[in-house]
Amino acid sequence: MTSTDSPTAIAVPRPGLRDRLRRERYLLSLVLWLDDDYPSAERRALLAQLRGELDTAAADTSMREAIRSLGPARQLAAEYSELLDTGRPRWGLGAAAAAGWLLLCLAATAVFASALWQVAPHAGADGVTARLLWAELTVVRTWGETSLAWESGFPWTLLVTLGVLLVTARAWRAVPVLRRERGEA
Amino acid sequence: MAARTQAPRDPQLLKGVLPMLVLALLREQDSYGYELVTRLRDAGLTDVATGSVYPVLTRLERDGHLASYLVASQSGPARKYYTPTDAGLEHLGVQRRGWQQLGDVVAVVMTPGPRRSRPVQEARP
Repeated sequence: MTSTDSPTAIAVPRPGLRDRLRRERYLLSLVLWLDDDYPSAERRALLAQLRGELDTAAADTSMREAIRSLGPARQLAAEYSELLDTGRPRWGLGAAAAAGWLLLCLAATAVFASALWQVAPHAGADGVTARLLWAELTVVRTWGETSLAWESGFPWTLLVTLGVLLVTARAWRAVPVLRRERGEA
Repeated sequence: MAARTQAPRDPQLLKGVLPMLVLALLREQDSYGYELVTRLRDAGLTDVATGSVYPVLTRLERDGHLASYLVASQSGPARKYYTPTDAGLEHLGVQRRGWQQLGDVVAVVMTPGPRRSRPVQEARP
């Protein structure tokens, strides 16, 4: 390294309330446009850095001008999102897909159970039993008993959920050997 | 004599050379983001935007061409200073040679030479 002098801290006047609100509105907009999987620690560091840079620029010109020079938040967020390592696992996306699958299962089960509920009074004391994918639902609806039983030998729902999570998140990228180098197709 | 007005600068051209300029300035002195922007403006890039410089700094740091360290501020958050790494200085050397070679070619092509007359079209039978 060629630089010799260590920089010393320079005091920057704290912006007024209106300017701080302008700054935070811009940063909030930037956060909203950032990639969902932008690592939270890096996101916090980026915001802290930009906050400091904006305050310094605002002391030199004005907060309005400092924000204008950064450009549209959407464009800046896109530039930072492009810098993310594309070969990393996307846990946020995987969790969202797994949650979606679980919600779909829940909705399908509710609709199915509701249909069984309608016909259960005519089925007598044993109730009505039907199969939904890998699970067996039994609904009993008599004067003496009202019940809903769910039987599934193997926890396929959880297994599929885990599969959706791992595949969508591209979990294999967490293993260094299986990761593609940057620039590979 | 009329004053020369600055020709509009192609943003793509600037985007291409910005990492090299950033490395060249940081080789002289460590800087934080906004300070670097003002140094670029003082050097003649008067229209350079902070929004185009900050992501370049992040990219160069990600690629190992820059290192950074925090300097505590008397008010507000700590300031992030950038300094070129050995790999960054090596990269700068490669970039500079490439730029000079390109500049030589551009200079040759852009130097106006004597205009040749158009070839005369032969009459077809």
